Amino acid sequence: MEGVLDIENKKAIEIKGLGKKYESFNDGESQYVLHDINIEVMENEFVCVLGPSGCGKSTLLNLISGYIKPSDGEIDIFGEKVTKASGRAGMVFQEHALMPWLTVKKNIMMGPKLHHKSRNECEEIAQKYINMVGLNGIENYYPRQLSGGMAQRVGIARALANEPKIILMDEPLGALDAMTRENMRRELLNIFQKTKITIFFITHSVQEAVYLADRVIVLKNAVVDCDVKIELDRPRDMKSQTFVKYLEYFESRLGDIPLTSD
Amino acid sequence: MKKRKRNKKELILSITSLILFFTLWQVATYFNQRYGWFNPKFLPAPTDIIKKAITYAGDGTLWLHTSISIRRILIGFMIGGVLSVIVGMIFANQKLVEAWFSPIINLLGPIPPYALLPIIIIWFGIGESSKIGLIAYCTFMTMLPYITDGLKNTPPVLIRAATSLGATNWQIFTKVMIPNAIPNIFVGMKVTLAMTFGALMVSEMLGASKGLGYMIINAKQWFKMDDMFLAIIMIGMIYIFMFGIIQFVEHIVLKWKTDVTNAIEK
Ligand SMILES: Nc1ncnc2c1ncn2[C@@H]1O[C@H](COP(=O)(O)OP(=O)(O)OP(=O)(O)O)[C@@H](O)[C@H]1O
Ligand SMILES: [Mg+2]
Repeated sequence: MEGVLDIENKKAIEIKGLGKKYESFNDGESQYVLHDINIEVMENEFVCVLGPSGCGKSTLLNLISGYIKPSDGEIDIFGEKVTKASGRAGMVFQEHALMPWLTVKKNIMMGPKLHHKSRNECEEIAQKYINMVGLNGIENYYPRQLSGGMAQRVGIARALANEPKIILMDEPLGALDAMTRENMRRELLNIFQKTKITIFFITHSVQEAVYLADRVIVLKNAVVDCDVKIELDRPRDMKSQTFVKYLEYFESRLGDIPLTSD
Repeated sequence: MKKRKRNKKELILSITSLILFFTLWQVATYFNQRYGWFNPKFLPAPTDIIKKAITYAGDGTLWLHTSISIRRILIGFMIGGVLSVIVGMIFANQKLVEAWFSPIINLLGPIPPYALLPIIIIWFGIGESSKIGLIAYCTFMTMLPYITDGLKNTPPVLIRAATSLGATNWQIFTKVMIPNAIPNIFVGMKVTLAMTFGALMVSEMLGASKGLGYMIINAKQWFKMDDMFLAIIMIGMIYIFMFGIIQFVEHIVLKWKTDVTNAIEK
């Protein structure tokens, strides 16, 4: 990156020479899903990751969270090496990962409860995020009674209710209709601007990435294809010329056929 | 709503089926008595059994045998169940302990527990402890794999989710693995119940002087077919009752799971 860093800003996530290989089922040979990845995410930065399906985005999040171990390189969170799974970064899972035996509300309360917050406090926090993601009226539903989009919002609320310093989000708005998606983007930016939260956000939507992010990273063919700062003031106008230029740029990067990864 | 309707329909059906069964039985014994197909003593009529039940209920015999059997099964089932939960939890958490003990359990597992009864009697005598011991052992052996499986088959993504919220290992165990195992534990209990009753019968038929199993064996000696059928029906009723209780508790505890979810609604 062109390295315009505020001196006071801390590095929230630092990924250094990260590689991850998986054994292929067919020939038993291992293949890199991620190779020599270098990414720095500053505190209170909003980074979006774009990339075709299967390029290793979820794998990258699992590595940052410490659920899986890197084959090469390392990851630091606030300067401390990730060695095991921990709650240092909140996570919104692509597959929601709600506890099926807990109601919507209890799922959202899970974080505060694990940290032994008082009952009242837990209730308050849960209510706040239920309102925020617009789940009023279904607090007492069980996950199996939810639509995909609802479950996704519960997952977001649950992660936010834990008030993490860093939040990793794996296509968190993918299953939402345009209206809800729009609202959720706004809420997310709202929280982002009000707190010092760092967001590492995976999406398939180029438009969403350019709308939300301070920086967009394109992942392709196991490597970082490009890492671009979005120089637009918020709130962003999706119809402005610069916005459209960014869109076109990323679309061309994604559309590129292999080999161009520099 | 719809579900309740269907339940009602099913209930009516099963009641009708039972009534039909007993009526046929009654009719069969009646014709047997008239035409003498086989010795009528072999198959007493339901009404004879009811008469017998009333006599025995009056002089306290029925309650004596029934209560002792209920007591044995409850205590044995509880002890075996609790032990299997505890051991299952240890196994799920301590791979080393499991590695040490599971070969032994795998060795004992396939041996029908009833085969062990004589040994148990010789070791522990013919008192209550050997009977309850066998029942508990049967319960334990049958239930253990359900519990370990339930705990171990927790979807990794749920464990990850709890971790990402800052759960400690202990919290992952209590807040994720145990709730995840509960459906399995109920399945285990229901499957185990049949084994437990088997153990009860065997232990009461060998070296006992009370209990429904004893009642059957004793009735055989004196060719009291009514007593035998009465005892069998009592066993069936206790079984159904206990099964019903388990199912009832399951329905409440697993509210998040039990109702709905037909693959295809009809
Ligand atoms: N446990 C595993 N063993 C072997 N290969 C794996 C494993 N997990 C993931 N992969 C492979 O790694 C690659 C990246 O998977 P990943 O889930 O990270 O993709 P993704 O970028 O998140 O895709 P999507 O956008 O569809 O969610 C895929 O080719 C997948 O087959
Ligand atoms: Mg993915």
